[in-house]
Amino acid sequence: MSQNIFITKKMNDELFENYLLNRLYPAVADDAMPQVKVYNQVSSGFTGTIDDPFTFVQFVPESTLTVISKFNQLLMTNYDDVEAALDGTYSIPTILDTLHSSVPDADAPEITAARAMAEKLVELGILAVEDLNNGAFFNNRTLIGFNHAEWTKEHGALDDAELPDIYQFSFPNPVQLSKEFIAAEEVFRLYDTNQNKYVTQTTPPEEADREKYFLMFNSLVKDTFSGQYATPLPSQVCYFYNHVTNKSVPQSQFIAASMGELQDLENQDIEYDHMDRIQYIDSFFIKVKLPRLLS
Amino acid sequence: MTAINYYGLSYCFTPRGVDINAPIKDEDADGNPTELDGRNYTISNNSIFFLKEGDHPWGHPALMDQLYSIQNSSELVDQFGASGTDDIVLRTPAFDLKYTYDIENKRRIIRKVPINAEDLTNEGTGTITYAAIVLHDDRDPANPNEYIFFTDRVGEWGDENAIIIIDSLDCTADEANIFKDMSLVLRDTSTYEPN
Repeated sequence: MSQNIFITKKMNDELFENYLLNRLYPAVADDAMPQVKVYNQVSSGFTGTIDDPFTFVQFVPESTLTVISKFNQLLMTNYDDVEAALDGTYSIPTILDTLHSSVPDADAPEITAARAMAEKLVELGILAVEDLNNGAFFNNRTLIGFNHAEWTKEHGALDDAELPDIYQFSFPNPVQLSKEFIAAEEVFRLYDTNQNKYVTQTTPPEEADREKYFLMFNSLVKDTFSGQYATPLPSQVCYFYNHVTNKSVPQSQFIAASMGELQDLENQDIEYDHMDRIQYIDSFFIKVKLPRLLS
Repeated sequence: MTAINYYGLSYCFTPRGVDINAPIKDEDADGNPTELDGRNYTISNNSIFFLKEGDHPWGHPALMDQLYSIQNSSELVDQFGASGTDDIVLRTPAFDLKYTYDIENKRRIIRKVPINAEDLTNEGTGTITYAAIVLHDDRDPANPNEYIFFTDRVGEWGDENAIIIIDSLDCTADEANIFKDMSLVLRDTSTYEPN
C-alpha cells in the first residue's frame, strides 16, 4: 500500500517563505549576510568573504551546471568512493562551496576558485577530463549591481485555478555582467592532461559547438544542524537523505534558466532577438511550481 | 529550466527564534533535551480527522484542488463535516506531538507522545480511506498556525508501518474506536536519490 502525503497550499506557502525564499533571498530571516565563503583552492583554508559582485546569481555555460550536477550525483551514489579519493585533501563541503564561487584568485586574477577546484578534482581522479573539456567555470560571469534587497516575491493566487502552486521571484532592475558576453568569442577551453589545467583554444569553435548559457541561481543554506556553528555565513551545502545508505549526503542546489535566441529550435526560458553581445540583463523573474503530493 | 535538489520540507519544521550559532543542547539519560533546541520540541493541540470516500482522493483532481486550498481545521470541518459532505467519520482528541531531529540522517521525526491508546470521537459511519493530520504550530506564540497533511496510509492495530494506527477502519455509530499511534518522518530527498 502506498504511503502518500498530500500537503496543502498553506504548507507550500511555509516551504516557500521559510525555505525556498530564504535560499535565494539572503537578506531575510537568518540568512542576513549577503556573502559567500571563499576558500584557498590549494590549502583549502577559509580565506574570507565577498559580497560584491553578488555571486549567488551567475551567467554560466551549460558545462558548469553539468560539472556541479555530476559531482552532486557522485556524492549521492558513491559518497564513500569520493571521500576516499579525496583522502583528506579537501572537505566535500569546501568543494561544493568553491564550485559555486567565481571569485578570482588574488595571485592570479584570471583564475577563479571554481575553475582551480575543478582542475583539482580531475587531478584527483574524481571528475573525468571530458567533464571539463567544454570549459566549465571558464566563462562564468557574476552580476554587478544585483541588489538582493530588490527581489520581489509573489505567491500563487487561489482564485486563479491554474496558479495556486506557482511561486515567483523577480528582479526588476538592470544588472551588468562582470565580463561582456560576446557570442562569437565564447570559445571552448580544453583541459590539458599533461599540464593538469585548462588551456585556451586559439581557433574559435563553429557556432553549433558553442555552449548554451544559463542564468544560475545558487542556493544558500543555513543548515542549523550541520555542525558549522562557528560561522554565521550561508553555505552552498545542503544535506539530503539517501535511504539506501541510510545517511545524509552533502549536495549543492541551484535553479538555472536557459538562455537563447527566439529563432532557436528549442524553447528557452529566456529568449533574446539576438544573443550576440550582452552587457546587461535588464530584469528577470523565476517561477517555481511546488509539488502537492509527496511519496 | 533545471533545478537540482531543491527541496527542504524538514527545514520548515525548525523552530523559530533558535540561535543558529548556539550548540545543540544536552540530553538527559532518556535522550530528552534538557532545554528546547532546534532538534527536539513538543507541541500540543494536534488532531487527526478520519475521512471516507469511495476511493482515496489521489487521482481525483477536483477533490485534490479542494483539499489543497484548505487553510485550517475549521475549514476542513466546514467542508467535510456534517454540514458539508459528511465525509468525516472520526476525529481524535487533542494530543501532543514530539518533533525530533535525527542529526545523523537529517530527518525530522514527528511522533505522538505519550504512546498510549485514546478513544476516538464518532462523527459518522463508513470505511476510512484517508486522514487529515492537523499539525498545530505555536513556535511563534503570537502567530499560531495549523498545517494539514493528508495521508492514505491509515492502518489497523498490528500494522506497525502505517503512519496512523487505529483499532478499525470500519466505523459504525455505536462501536467505540481507538487511536493508538501516529508517527511521520520528513526528510529532504534528492534528485539523485537511488530508487
